[in-house]
Amino acid sequence: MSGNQTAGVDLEELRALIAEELELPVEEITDEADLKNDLAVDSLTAMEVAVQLEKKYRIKIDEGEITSLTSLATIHRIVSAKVETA
Amino acid sequence: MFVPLKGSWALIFGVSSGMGKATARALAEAGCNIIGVHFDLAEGRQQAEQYAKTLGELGVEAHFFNLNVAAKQSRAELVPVIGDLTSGVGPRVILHSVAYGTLTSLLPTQDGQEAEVPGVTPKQLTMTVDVMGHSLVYWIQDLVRAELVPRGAKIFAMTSAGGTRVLSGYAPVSAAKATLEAHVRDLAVELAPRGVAVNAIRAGTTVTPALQKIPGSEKLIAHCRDINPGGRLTRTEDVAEAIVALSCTDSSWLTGNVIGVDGGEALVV
Repeated sequence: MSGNQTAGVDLEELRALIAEELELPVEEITDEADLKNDLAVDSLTAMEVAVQLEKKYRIKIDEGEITSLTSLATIHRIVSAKVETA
Repeated sequence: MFVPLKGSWALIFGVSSGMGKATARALAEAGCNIIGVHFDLAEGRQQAEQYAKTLGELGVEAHFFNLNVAAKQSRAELVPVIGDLTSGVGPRVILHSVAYGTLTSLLPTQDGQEAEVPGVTPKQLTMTVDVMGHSLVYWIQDLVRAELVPRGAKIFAMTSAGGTRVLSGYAPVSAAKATLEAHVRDLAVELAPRGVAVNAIRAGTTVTPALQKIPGSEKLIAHCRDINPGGRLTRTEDVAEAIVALSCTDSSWLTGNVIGVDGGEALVV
């Protein structure tokens, strides 16, 4: 088992989802790249990411939580925690 | 000539809140089927789906789609669906009532004793004008290309007093509304040969979720309640009724206007 698995949320799958929403090559979605500052994600794109995360992982994200979706690593932690408690 | 709406279709952008939501109900009550577009997280999406059900109980079809109105992909996905649902005819009424943008000033401001609030960024300004202004054009382009804007269709775009006036913390949206009004004029002229009317609706101050997000809106609400010659604020139902009334005709002669639906508020501000 790779270290990429937390509660069934595959890091690479998540990376691919974010890359697709951001229309960027997966290589640019490093674990720590800051969505806003490094990848030029605006609030609307962040909202698109959130909607896709909700859909794929069947979780709920509050509007106030969108600003905490800062990097792949952070999103992975947040989504994993939500999937675990879902 | 008066033409009943029963059995026709309306396409509403921003159907889950405010003016779009109220207009969907008023059109459904008039027998018009609804295709609604909204963009919400899970909780809002569930509420929207519930709302679509209540519209369905009025005896019409109501199909809601949770999509980013400004994304090309959304148009690619939905335009064929609109064609199928309307049996290739297209919607009789199109309403653009989209509130998603950055509320800030153009220049940095001091927020009381707190840190400086930065001025609008290029990205914020571009996004706001794109979502609340240009998206109308892109949807109409694709719908016209698919021959889904029939003769007699009515296109409405929600503008606000901010399209021509200054409201604190509203600058990017002001730009979007001014842009939207310009698009309405040009679309009115370009669609006139097709017998399609395009108008902007300038609602008076209305307590909607979008208004409540504007910094200092409580002051604006109190002021407008005070001065509105009709003695109250505008309600979403006022706008909905106006849109239904303006849609019940096959005439395309009322076009290219900014129509105030405000009880005379703008005349006395």
